[in-house]
Amino acid sequence: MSVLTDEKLPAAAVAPPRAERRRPSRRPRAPYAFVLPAALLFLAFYLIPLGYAIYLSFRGAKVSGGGGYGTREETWVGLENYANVLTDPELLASLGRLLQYGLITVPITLGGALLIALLLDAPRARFVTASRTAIFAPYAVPGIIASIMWGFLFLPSTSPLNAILKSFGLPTLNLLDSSWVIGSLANIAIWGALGFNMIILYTALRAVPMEIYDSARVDGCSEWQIAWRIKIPLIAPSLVLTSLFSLIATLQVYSEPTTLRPLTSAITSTFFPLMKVYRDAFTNDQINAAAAMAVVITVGTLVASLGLLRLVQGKTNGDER
Amino acid sequence: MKKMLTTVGSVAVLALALTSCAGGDAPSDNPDSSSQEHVDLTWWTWWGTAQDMADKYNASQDRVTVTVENVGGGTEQFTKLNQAVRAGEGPDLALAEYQWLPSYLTAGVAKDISEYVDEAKGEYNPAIWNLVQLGDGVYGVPLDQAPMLYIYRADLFEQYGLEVPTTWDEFAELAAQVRTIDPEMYLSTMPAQDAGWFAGLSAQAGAQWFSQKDGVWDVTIAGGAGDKVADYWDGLVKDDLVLTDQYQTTEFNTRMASGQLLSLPTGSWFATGMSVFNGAPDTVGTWAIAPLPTWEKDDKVSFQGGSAALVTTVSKHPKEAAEFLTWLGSQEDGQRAMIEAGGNFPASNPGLDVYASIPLSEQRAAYKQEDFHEILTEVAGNTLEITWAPNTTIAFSNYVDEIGRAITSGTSFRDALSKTQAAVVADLESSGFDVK
Repeated sequence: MSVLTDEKLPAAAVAPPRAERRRPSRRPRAPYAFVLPAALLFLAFYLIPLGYAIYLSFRGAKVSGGGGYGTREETWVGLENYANVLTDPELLASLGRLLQYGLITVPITLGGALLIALLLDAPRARFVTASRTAIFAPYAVPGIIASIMWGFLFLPSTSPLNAILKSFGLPTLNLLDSSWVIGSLANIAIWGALGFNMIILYTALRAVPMEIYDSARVDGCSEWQIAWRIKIPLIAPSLVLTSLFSLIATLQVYSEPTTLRPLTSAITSTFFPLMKVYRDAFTNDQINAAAAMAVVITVGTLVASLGLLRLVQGKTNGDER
Repeated sequence: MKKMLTTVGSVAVLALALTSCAGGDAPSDNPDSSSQEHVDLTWWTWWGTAQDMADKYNASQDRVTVTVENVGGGTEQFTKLNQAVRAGEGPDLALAEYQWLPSYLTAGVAKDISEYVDEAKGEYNPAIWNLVQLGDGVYGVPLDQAPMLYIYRADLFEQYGLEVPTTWDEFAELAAQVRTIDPEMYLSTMPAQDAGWFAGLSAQAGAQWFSQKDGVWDVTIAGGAGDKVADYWDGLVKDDLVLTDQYQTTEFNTRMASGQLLSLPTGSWFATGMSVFNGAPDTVGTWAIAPLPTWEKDDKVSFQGGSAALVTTVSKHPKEAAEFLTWLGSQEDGQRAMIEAGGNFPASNPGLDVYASIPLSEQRAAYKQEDFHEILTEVAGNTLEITWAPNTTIAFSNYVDEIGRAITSGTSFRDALSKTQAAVVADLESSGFDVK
């Protein structure tokens, strides 16, 4: 530091305390004003309904008066709905199925997305734009439409796969029966989500400065080593982001199994947790039990997401040390 | 920061308070509105030709105008109606399949209209009126009915020299025989996603799913004759003698169209409605009906579906609404309008007379059968009195799940029924009903 700066310091340090007290009123209000609409919408369409759902979960509909056909009225029931949800064997079974589904979907989606992003980023990759568009295209297909199309591709009587097998005299497959159905559902999800995740990772890769690769090649790294030791660690934040998206999407899977339900007996109305919430709320007209289950799923998703972030941050910190 | 939060919070609360103030109107305190003013009624139904029926009524008098709205079929409307009425809005009238009426009652949706419809009671078979008289009140007006019968491909039966089964033993033998004729052909399917179908067959065998005495419910989904029916179909499915396709699905329609499905025990709506025309139009005219196979000679049959219409508790004109329903459901003109527009098999006795006098349209599955009307009238005259519970929805959705599981994993149908029974009883008790 120069002598001049040192001489200026005492003047600044001696600034009167009154100026300090005036500072809060000079803090810019504009950012808060910009955030206000989003905050209001968040409050109105997220926090308030969430609060209402929690409120509903503590109430239940009971019949008042005797006779076989009383009218159900809503009363306070405390933790009864939660007790029913947590002791329901169906919940454990649907979580088990969700785990199987997640173990297939998430690794293949992310692994595939990472692999394709790395391949597209490799120096001698060709037809990059065309491949990118083609792999991303399935994401543009709405989930229900995709499920219906895949449903017909899986259904034994309309499946082209079975037509081919039959023409070779091989036994036909029912890709919607109980041994295949989770894999088939995972297939639909992977098909739709892989492109989206690939784009996120590819964009992150593109943002890495080229000098790092140049210096790595000078040091004698092969392309494979560059990918493994440089690219992947550098896009770690994007990987965390896509993992989080995939985890949340898996926990909330609903539209694919519901669309395929009429086509097969293997998918029950409580196949995955969110389906049970829908069934209780709307088909069975038991909105309080559904609210309790929805709250349980939300808490579970929150715990899983925070757990994932905690785990990843722990790892990142470890690397830095 | 604190100031900003308080401002945001108070604005939000204020906004919310204002929206809740602008709620719906309260229902009119005077149900018998003046007979001078014009009355507009809305009717929620999924019947495609319902507006034609309403138009006939609108043309026959000028005080009341009925407008039809289609908000979705079956369970979709069930959900929407419950939520709409709870919000204080909703239509004046709604179509309600008989098995959902008690649920609508306990949800506070169906209004007791006994004071308006007492004269209509005499126009119906007691078994049908029993479906709308719940406890001490009347909660709907029957419009059509669907007794269970047996529909089969008359042309293919003749081609292969098959005899129409009259008992369930004959049915099982025929199912085995059909499998030997062609490996792709099946005598029938057990619609795995239709609980009403199974409940109907169970009732025919002597085990009604629900019954009520002095305010106490008795649930017999499993046990007794229900197990006999469960074991019967369990055997047929496990030996690959029948399919498990649900009707109105692609699989089912494909098989119907290609002659791989020969017959079906089902409600009469399959024969009187458009299912075959929509699913396999080339087979229209090749079907014929017969009475359902029985266990004992004089077994009565149950219903599978069929609908009444209810007046909602939020209707401002229950008297006019009930009058429209009485016209449509029990008077000759109304039932004629229903039959001519939709081809529904009517619930009332005057309606049955009208139905017998109108030739079947060429879009109905069995229109070439000469004794169609005689057989249908015979079937309709041989029906049981059945009861549905306030949580029939839960019984049905549990049944579908459990049977689906039993089919895919090969476990017994009896166990599936026991599990359904346990869930239904537990739900009735937790709602506060008395169960035996």
